[in-house]
Amino acid sequence: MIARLIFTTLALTAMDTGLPVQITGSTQKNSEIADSNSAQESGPVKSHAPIPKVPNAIADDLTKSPPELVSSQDTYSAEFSAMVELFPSYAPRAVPITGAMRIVGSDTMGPLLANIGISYQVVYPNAKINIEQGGSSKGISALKGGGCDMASVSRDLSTKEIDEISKATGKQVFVVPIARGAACVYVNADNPIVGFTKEQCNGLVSITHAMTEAPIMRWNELDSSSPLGSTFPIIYVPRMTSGTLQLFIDWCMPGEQITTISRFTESGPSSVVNACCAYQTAVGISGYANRQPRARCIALSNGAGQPFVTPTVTTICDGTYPLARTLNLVFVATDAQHIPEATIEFLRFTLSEDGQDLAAETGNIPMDANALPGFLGTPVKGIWR
Amino acid sequence: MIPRPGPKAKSCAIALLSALLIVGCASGSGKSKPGEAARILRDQRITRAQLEEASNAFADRYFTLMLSASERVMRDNKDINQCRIMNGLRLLGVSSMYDIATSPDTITQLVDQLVVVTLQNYFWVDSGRAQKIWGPRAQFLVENLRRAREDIWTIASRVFTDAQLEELDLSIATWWSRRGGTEFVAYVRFSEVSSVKGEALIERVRDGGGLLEPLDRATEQVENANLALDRSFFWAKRLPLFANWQIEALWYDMLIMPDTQRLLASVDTMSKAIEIVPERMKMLNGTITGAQDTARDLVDRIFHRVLVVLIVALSGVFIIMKWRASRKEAKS
Repeated sequence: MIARLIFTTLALTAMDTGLPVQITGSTQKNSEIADSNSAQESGPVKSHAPIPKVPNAIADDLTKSPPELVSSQDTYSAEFSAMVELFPSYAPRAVPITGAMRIVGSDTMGPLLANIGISYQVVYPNAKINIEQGGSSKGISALKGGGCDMASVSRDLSTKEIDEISKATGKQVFVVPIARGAACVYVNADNPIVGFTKEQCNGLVSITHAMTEAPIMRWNELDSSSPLGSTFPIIYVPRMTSGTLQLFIDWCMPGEQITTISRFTESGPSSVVNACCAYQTAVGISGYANRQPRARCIALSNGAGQPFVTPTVTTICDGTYPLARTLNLVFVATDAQHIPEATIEFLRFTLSEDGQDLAAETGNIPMDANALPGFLGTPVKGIWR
Repeated sequence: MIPRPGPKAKSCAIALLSALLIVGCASGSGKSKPGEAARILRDQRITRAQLEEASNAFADRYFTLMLSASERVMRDNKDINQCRIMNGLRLLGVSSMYDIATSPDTITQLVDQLVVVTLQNYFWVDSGRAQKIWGPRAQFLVENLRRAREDIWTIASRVFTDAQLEELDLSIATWWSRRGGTEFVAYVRFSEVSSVKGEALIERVRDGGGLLEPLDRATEQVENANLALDRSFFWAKRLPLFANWQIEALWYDMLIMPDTQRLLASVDTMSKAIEIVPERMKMLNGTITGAQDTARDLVDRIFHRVLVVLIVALSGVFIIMKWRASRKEAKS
């Protein structure tokens, strides 16, 4: 009996200690370890899946352009093709054009004219087209002083300027629009700001800020929710002779001086956009043709309460974008009947399918094919002859 | 309160100051000669030695910019391909820059550096290619490439007139608009970008048509011969700085090969397995300690129960013995 009592006591004690439970617990842990091991083992199985081939030459990576990089701004759209096709083709003259022609002026128009010049010289190998930049104002001055055959001007000429050229040269002034574009305000692609009003542009860029009570010095003064907070907007502009800058000044700060605080003058319009591509706090003023994937042309509004308009082909062509403009070639002649042959031919080439194709390729918008200047003559069966 | 000078007092002071300045200038320089401004301008012209120095300094600066940018991109970056492309970019860029800095002609050095850096900006910064490849890590590289562009154009503005700079800018922009996006930019040179027109520009600058001090051809050749040794030393001293990048390039090229990738995956698995061992040991140790504690606890409890049972049993035995004794006594 005593033995039975002792056995029962021992059995109860063993049950209270929960030994089997502990054993079960450790078993569970071990199973977890086993699971985790199997999980670890299953990793490499996945990594042994076929590895996509990667080109092993550095050159391939450094030169290939990922397809996603081609932005909508860079594509030569079907819209452009339709516009270009409306222009007459260019047939070279039987008697080739020879001699040099000097075109001075707009930085924005530089690449366009240089490309047209190269193609023109393929048609007429003995013709030489010299392009010089320096800004629209420089072109106008050169034309006045007889220092060039044509001035490239990336804005509308004022009546005063036309009168001055006419007076200085004693000849009639001809202004021929060869492409369309706009002066744009650029910011970094990562900057979420939607747009600027005319007043904001004035407060930001003008030293006297006639349209605002105080100068605008920080990003959160332009947009309270700007992630750039109280950092300074750094302004990048082309040279003062630039037609693009002049158009911007005439729009938002007529008669005022441009600020000297946090402002940098760049060597060319592409450098302005490059700064906006690189620096997140940058604001740049440059031409529509200079747009790049890492910089964004922001919308502009003619004033508080007015709609914001982004520069697009549509808004530039219909003139709703505040800083839409035409890119012009300006020259002088006694009258329309006495324009030099070389000038006529160069303009015909520029306003042909080939010339307008180059305009589109260099980031500009082709002209309206129904508004060709009368002194160029009439195309015969869609060909300039 | 001190009264502020009125407009009249101010204008008097300005007039007096102007008069003193005029007298001072006149007494200092004597009679003003025609062409004085041109002489001052000529005196301020940069010399070839200064330009050579600026070009070398720029190459070093470019090296520093690329080194710091690549460190940002490659540090703790487990993407071999990203590291490989970055290494390739810095290796080609820096070797190209030193190659230019040690080339024979000083003006060509400058325009070549200008072309490479400007094209690199078009290619990597403007297009967004850098962000596409390296994501947010690219920002530092992008800013450094832009700084390099600012620096080299500033140096160029000491040599070329505004018009000449615009000509250079137009040449590069035109070339890029015709060939953009697909060129191997670190090794593009000005001669390729500008052809005959560019040669003419360099000749004009060489002959004093820019801001560079003109030099007759014979003197220039002697100077270049003297500089050749300096350039060799310059190159030789810099070479070890980025020689290891070449080794890294080979290493990354090897790493990126599909077979190496598979091997790496296996090694990775193995290393992960090795990493697990101490962890498992630790866990096992914990389990053993737990089991020991449990057993100790169990023994304690058993001992306690056995003791209780023994006491109960002994008490029972004692009670029984007591009962038997009392019964015997009752019987007796």
